[in-house]
Amino acid sequence: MSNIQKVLLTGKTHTIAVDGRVTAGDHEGKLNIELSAPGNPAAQRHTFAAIAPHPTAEQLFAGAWSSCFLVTAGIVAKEKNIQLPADTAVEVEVDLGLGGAGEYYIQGRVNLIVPGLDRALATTLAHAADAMCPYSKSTRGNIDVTLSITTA
Amino acid sequence: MSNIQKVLLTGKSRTTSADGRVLAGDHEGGLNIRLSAPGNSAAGGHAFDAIALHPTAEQLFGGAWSACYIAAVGLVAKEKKVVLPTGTAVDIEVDLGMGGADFYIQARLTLVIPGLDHALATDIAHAADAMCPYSKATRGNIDVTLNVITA
Repeated sequence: MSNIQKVLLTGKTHTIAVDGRVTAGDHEGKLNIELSAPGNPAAQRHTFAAIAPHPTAEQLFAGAWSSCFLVTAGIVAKEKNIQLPADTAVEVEVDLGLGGAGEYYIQGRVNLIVPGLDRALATTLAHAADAMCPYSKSTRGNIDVTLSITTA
Repeated sequence: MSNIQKVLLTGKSRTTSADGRVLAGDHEGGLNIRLSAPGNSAAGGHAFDAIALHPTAEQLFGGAWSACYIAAVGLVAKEKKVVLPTGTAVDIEVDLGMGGADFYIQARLTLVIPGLDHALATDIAHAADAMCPYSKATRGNIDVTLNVITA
Protein backbone atom coordinates (compact mmCIF):
# COMPACT_ATOMS: atom_id res chain seq x y z
CA MET A 1 0.00 0.00 0.00
CA SER A 2 1.32 3.41 -0.93
CA ASN A 3 -1.73 5.58 -0.94
CA ILE A 4 -0.06 8.90 -0.19
CA GLN A 5 1.26 10.81 -3.15
CA LYS A 6 1.67 14.14 -1.38
CA VAL A 7 2.55 14.59 2.30
CA LEU A 8 0.73 17.53 3.88
CA LEU A 9 2.37 17.46 7.27
CA THR A 10 4.22 15.15 9.62
CA GLY A 11 3.80 14.77 13.37
CA LYS A 12 7.03 13.72 15.07
CA THR A 13 7.44 12.55 18.62
CA HIS A 14 10.19 11.27 20.85
CA THR A 15 8.98 9.22 23.79
CA ILE A 16 11.03 8.11 26.78
CA ALA A 17 10.25 6.43 30.07
CA VAL A 18 10.80 8.65 33.11
CA ASP A 19 10.06 8.19 36.76
CA GLY A 20 9.80 11.88 37.62
CA ARG A 21 7.55 14.64 36.43
CA VAL A 22 8.13 16.34 33.13
CA THR A 23 9.86 19.67 33.59
CA ALA A 24 7.97 22.39 31.79
CA GLY A 25 10.16 24.49 29.52
CA ASP A 26 12.31 21.62 28.33
CA HIS A 27 10.94 22.20 24.88
CA GLU A 28 9.89 25.80 24.89
CA GLY A 29 6.80 26.45 22.86
CA LYS A 30 6.31 22.77 22.31
CA LEU A 31 4.21 20.10 23.86
CA ASN A 32 5.35 17.89 26.70
CA ILE A 33 2.81 15.58 28.18
CA GLU A 34 3.32 13.23 31.05
CA LEU A 35 1.26 10.21 30.16
CA SER A 36 -0.30 8.02 32.75
CA ALA A 37 -0.38 4.33 32.07
CA PRO A 38 -2.78 1.50 32.79
CA GLY A 39 -2.29 -0.45 35.98
CA ASN A 40 0.30 -2.91 34.92
CA PRO A 41 3.80 -2.97 36.40
CA ALA A 42 5.57 -2.73 33.05
CA ALA A 43 3.83 0.52 32.20
CA GLN A 44 5.40 3.57 33.76
CA ARG A 45 4.94 7.22 33.00
CA HIS A 46 6.11 8.47 29.65
CA THR A 47 7.28 11.78 28.42
CA PHE A 48 5.70 12.76 25.14
CA ALA A 49 7.63 15.61 23.59
CA ALA A 50 6.15 16.95 20.40
CA ILE A 51 8.94 18.14 18.17
CA ALA A 52 7.21 20.89 16.19
CA PRO A 53 5.69 23.94 17.89
CA HIS A 54 2.06 23.31 17.05
CA PRO A 55 0.51 20.04 18.13
CA THR A 56 -1.35 18.49 15.26
CA ALA A 57 -3.59 15.48 15.28
CA GLU A 58 -0.69 13.54 13.77
CA GLN A 59 1.52 14.42 16.74
CA LEU A 60 -1.15 13.27 19.17
CA PHE A 61 -1.52 9.98 17.33
CA ALA A 62 2.26 9.57 17.16
CA GLY A 63 2.39 10.25 20.91
CA ALA A 64 -0.23 7.62 21.61
CA TRP A 65 1.44 5.07 19.36
CA SER A 66 4.99 5.72 20.58
CA SER A 67 4.08 5.56 24.27
CA CYS A 68 2.19 2.34 23.72
CA PHE A 69 5.01 0.89 21.63
CA LEU A 70 7.54 1.78 24.34
CA VAL A 71 5.46 0.02 26.99
CA THR A 72 5.20 -2.99 24.74
CA ALA A 73 8.95 -3.02 24.09
CA GLY A 74 9.42 -3.06 27.87
CA ILE A 75 7.06 -6.01 28.28
CA VAL A 76 8.80 -7.96 25.51
CA ALA A 77 12.25 -7.15 26.92
CA LYS A 78 11.16 -8.42 30.31
CA GLU A 79 9.84 -11.64 28.78
CA LYS A 80 13.12 -12.17 26.95
CA ASN A 81 15.25 -11.16 29.96
CA ILE A 82 16.74 -8.27 27.99
CA GLN A 83 17.99 -5.29 29.98
CA LEU A 84 16.95 -2.20 28.05
CA PRO A 85 19.51 0.63 28.04
CA ALA A 86 18.65 3.72 30.08
CA ASP A 87 18.28 5.89 27.00
CA THR A 88 15.80 3.60 25.24
CA ALA A 89 13.32 5.67 23.23
CA VAL A 90 10.72 5.36 20.54
CA GLU A 91 10.33 7.92 17.80
CA VAL A 92 7.21 7.88 15.70
CA GLU A 93 6.49 10.07 12.70
CA VAL A 94 2.98 10.17 11.30
CA ASP A 95 2.34 11.80 7.93
CA LEU A 96 -0.98 13.17 6.81
CA GLY A 97 -1.09 13.07 3.04
CA LEU A 98 -3.22 13.07 -0.05
CA GLY A 99 -3.83 10.30 -2.52
CA GLY A 100 -4.27 10.85 -6.23
CA ALA A 101 -8.01 11.60 -6.01
CA GLY A 102 -7.59 14.14 -3.24
CA GLU A 103 -8.45 11.66 -0.51
CA TYR A 104 -6.72 11.79 2.87
CA TYR A 105 -4.46 9.11 4.31
CA ILE A 106 -1.98 8.72 7.10
CA GLN A 107 1.23 6.71 7.19
CA GLY A 108 3.75 6.08 9.95
CA ARG A 109 7.41 5.45 10.73
CA VAL A 110 8.32 3.81 14.02
CA ASN A 111 11.93 3.86 15.22
CA LEU A 112 12.96 1.87 18.29
CA ILE A 113 16.15 3.34 19.77
CA VAL A 114 18.07 0.93 21.99
CA PRO A 115 21.65 2.23 22.12
CA GLY A 116 24.26 -0.46 22.53
CA LEU A 117 21.91 -3.41 22.21
CA ASP A 118 22.82 -6.22 19.83
CA ARG A 119 21.21 -5.39 16.51
CA ALA A 120 19.66 -8.79 15.87
CA LEU A 121 18.23 -8.80 19.37
CA ALA A 122 16.91 -5.26 18.92
CA THR A 123 15.26 -6.27 15.65
CA THR A 124 13.58 -9.24 17.29
CA LEU A 125 12.43 -6.97 20.11
CA ALA A 126 11.03 -4.36 17.71
CA HIS A 127 9.07 -6.92 15.70
CA ALA A 128 7.69 -8.60 18.82
CA ALA A 129 6.63 -5.21 20.20
CA ASP A 130 5.02 -4.32 16.87
CA ALA A 131 3.07 -7.58 16.97
CA MET A 132 1.84 -6.83 20.51
CA CYS A 133 1.20 -3.06 20.44
CA PRO A 134 -2.55 -2.35 20.00
CA TYR A 135 -1.87 0.75 17.90
CA SER A 136 0.32 -1.22 15.52
CA LYS A 137 -2.41 -3.86 15.37
CA SER A 138 -5.19 -1.34 14.84
CA THR A 139 -3.53 0.10 11.73
CA ARG A 140 -2.04 -3.15 10.34
CA GLY A 141 -2.61 -3.52 6.63
CA ASN A 142 -4.49 -0.22 6.42
CA ILE A 143 -1.61 2.25 6.39
CA ASP A 144 2.03 2.25 5.35
CA VAL A 145 4.27 1.65 8.36
CA THR A 146 8.06 1.53 8.35
CA LEU A 147 9.67 -0.08 11.39
CA SER A 148 13.31 0.75 12.02
CA ILE A 149 15.87 0.11 14.75
CA THR A 150 18.65 2.35 15.99
CA THR A 151 21.35 0.66 18.10
CA ALA A 152 24.30 2.94 17.41
CA MET B 1 -14.60 -8.34 15.81
CA SER B 2 -14.88 -8.19 19.58
CA ASN B 3 -11.38 -8.84 20.78
CA ILE B 4 -11.58 -7.01 24.08
CA GLN B 5 -12.85 -9.03 27.02
CA LYS B 6 -11.69 -6.65 29.76
CA VAL B 7 -11.40 -2.87 29.42
CA LEU B 8 -8.33 -1.51 31.22
CA LEU B 9 -8.99 2.17 30.73
CA THR B 10 -10.85 4.58 28.48
CA GLY B 11 -9.57 7.84 27.06
CA LYS B 12 -12.35 10.35 26.49
CA SER B 13 -12.07 13.49 24.49
CA ARG B 14 -14.40 16.20 23.25
CA THR B 15 -13.37 18.22 20.26
CA THR B 16 -14.98 21.41 19.09
CA SER B 17 -14.05 23.85 16.36
CA ALA B 18 -12.75 27.04 17.89
CA ASP B 19 -11.20 30.10 16.37
CA GLY B 20 -9.80 31.39 19.66
CA ARG B 21 -7.21 30.02 22.01
CA VAL B 22 -8.12 27.42 24.55
CA LEU B 23 -8.11 28.95 28.02
CA ALA B 24 -5.83 27.14 30.42
CA GLY B 25 -7.68 26.10 33.57
CA ASP B 26 -10.93 25.32 31.79
CA HIS B 27 -10.49 21.78 32.95
CA GLU B 28 -8.16 22.02 35.88
CA GLY B 29 -5.70 19.16 35.91
CA GLY B 30 -6.88 18.04 32.50
CA LEU B 31 -5.39 18.45 29.10
CA ASN B 32 -6.41 21.22 26.75
CA ILE B 33 -4.64 21.43 23.46
CA ARG B 34 -5.26 23.81 20.62
CA LEU B 35 -4.51 21.79 17.55
CA SER B 36 -3.15 23.30 14.42
CA ALA B 37 -4.49 21.91 11.20
CA PRO B 38 -3.15 21.24 7.72
CA GLY B 39 -3.45 24.04 5.23
CA ASN B 40 -6.95 23.61 3.98
CA SER B 41 -9.73 26.10 4.40
CA ALA B 42 -12.18 23.76 6.14
CA ALA B 43 -9.76 22.86 8.89
CA GLY B 44 -9.41 25.57 11.49
CA GLY B 45 -7.97 25.29 14.94
CA HIS B 46 -9.46 22.63 17.16
CA ALA B 47 -9.81 22.54 20.89
CA PHE B 48 -9.05 19.14 22.37
CA ASP B 49 -10.22 18.76 25.94
CA ALA B 50 -9.17 15.58 27.67
CA ILE B 51 -11.81 14.78 30.22
CA ALA B 52 -9.91 12.72 32.78
CA LEU B 53 -7.03 14.06 34.82
CA HIS B 54 -4.12 12.18 33.39
CA PRO B 55 -3.70 12.10 29.65
CA THR B 56 -3.25 8.57 28.50
CA ALA B 57 -2.24 7.30 25.11
CA GLU B 58 -5.91 6.55 24.49
CA GLN B 59 -6.84 10.19 25.09
CA LEU B 60 -4.15 11.34 22.68
CA PHE B 61 -5.42 8.96 20.05
CA GLY B 62 -9.01 10.03 20.75
CA GLY B 63 -7.90 13.62 20.35
CA ALA B 64 -6.14 12.94 17.07
CA TRP B 65 -9.05 10.99 15.65
CA SER B 66 -11.72 13.44 16.79
CA ALA B 67 -9.83 16.48 15.50
CA CYS B 68 -9.45 14.80 12.15
CA TYR B 69 -13.02 13.54 12.16
CA ILE B 70 -14.48 16.98 12.90
CA ALA B 71 -12.45 18.43 10.03
CA ALA B 72 -13.89 15.71 7.77
CA VAL B 73 -17.40 16.53 9.03
CA GLY B 74 -16.77 20.17 8.07
CA LEU B 75 -15.64 19.16 4.57
CA VAL B 76 -18.66 16.89 4.05
CA ALA B 77 -21.06 19.55 5.35
CA LYS B 78 -19.56 22.07 2.96
CA GLU B 79 -19.97 19.66 0.02
CA LYS B 80 -23.60 19.09 1.03
CA LYS B 81 -24.16 22.82 1.64
CA VAL B 82 -25.16 22.12 5.24
CA VAL B 83 -24.47 24.82 7.81
CA LEU B 84 -23.27 23.14 10.99
CA PRO B 85 -24.71 24.54 14.22
CA THR B 86 -22.38 26.13 16.77
CA GLY B 87 -22.84 23.21 19.16
CA THR B 88 -21.28 20.73 16.72
CA ALA B 89 -18.83 18.46 18.52
CA VAL B 90 -17.20 15.06 18.27
CA ASP B 91 -16.88 12.89 21.36
CA ILE B 92 -14.56 9.92 21.14
CA GLU B 93 -13.90 7.26 23.72
CA VAL B 94 -11.01 4.88 23.12
CA ASP B 95 -10.75 1.80 25.32
CA LEU B 96 -7.55 -0.07 25.95
CA GLY B 97 -8.47 -3.61 26.83
CA MET B 98 -7.34 -7.17 26.93
CA GLY B 99 -8.55 -10.23 25.09
CA GLY B 100 -6.90 -13.17 26.76
CA ALA B 101 -3.31 -11.98 27.17
CA ASP B 102 -3.47 -9.64 24.17
CA PHE B 103 -3.86 -5.87 24.19
CA TYR B 104 -6.44 -4.26 21.93
CA ILE B 105 -8.12 -0.90 21.51
CA GLN B 106 -11.72 -0.17 20.56
CA ALA B 107 -13.58 3.09 20.07
CA ARG B 108 -16.90 4.89 20.17
CA LEU B 109 -17.41 8.00 18.03
CA THR B 110 -20.33 10.32 18.65
CA LEU B 111 -21.06 13.15 16.27
CA VAL B 112 -23.12 15.82 18.06
CA ILE B 113 -25.04 18.14 15.70
CA PRO B 114 -27.81 19.80 17.72
CA GLY B 115 -30.98 20.53 15.79
CA LEU B 116 -29.96 19.00 12.46
CA ASP B 117 -32.28 16.51 10.74
CA HIS B 118 -31.25 13.10 12.06
CA ALA B 119 -31.12 11.38 8.66
CA LEU B 120 -28.95 14.18 7.27
CA ALA B 121 -26.70 14.06 10.34
CA THR B 122 -26.35 10.31 9.91
CA ASP B 123 -25.39 10.77 6.25
CA ILE B 124 -22.75 13.31 7.27
CA ALA B 125 -21.43 11.03 10.02
CA HIS B 126 -20.99 8.10 7.62
CA ALA B 127 -19.49 10.23 4.84
CA ALA B 128 -17.01 11.74 7.32
CA ASP B 129 -16.15 8.26 8.58
CA ALA B 130 -15.45 7.19 5.01
CA MET B 131 -13.19 10.24 4.48
CA CYS B 132 -11.34 10.53 7.80
CA PRO B 133 -7.83 9.01 7.53
CA TYR B 134 -7.93 7.76 11.14
CA SER B 135 -11.20 5.94 10.52
CA LYS B 136 -9.64 4.46 7.39
CA ALA B 137 -6.44 3.52 9.21
CA THR B 138 -8.31 1.44 11.77
CA ARG B 139 -11.10 0.07 9.52
CA GLY B 140 -11.69 -3.62 10.06
CA ASN B 141 -8.93 -3.85 12.65
CA ILE B 142 -10.73 -2.51 15.72
CA ASP B 143 -14.32 -2.31 16.98
CA VAL B 144 -15.76 1.12 16.22
CA THR B 145 -19.25 2.31 17.13
CA LEU B 146 -20.51 5.42 15.34
CA ASN B 147 -23.31 7.39 17.02
CA VAL B 148 -25.20 10.52 16.00
CA ILE B 149 -26.86 12.90 18.44
CA THR B 150 -29.12 15.65 17.10
CA ALA B 151 -31.30 16.27 20.16
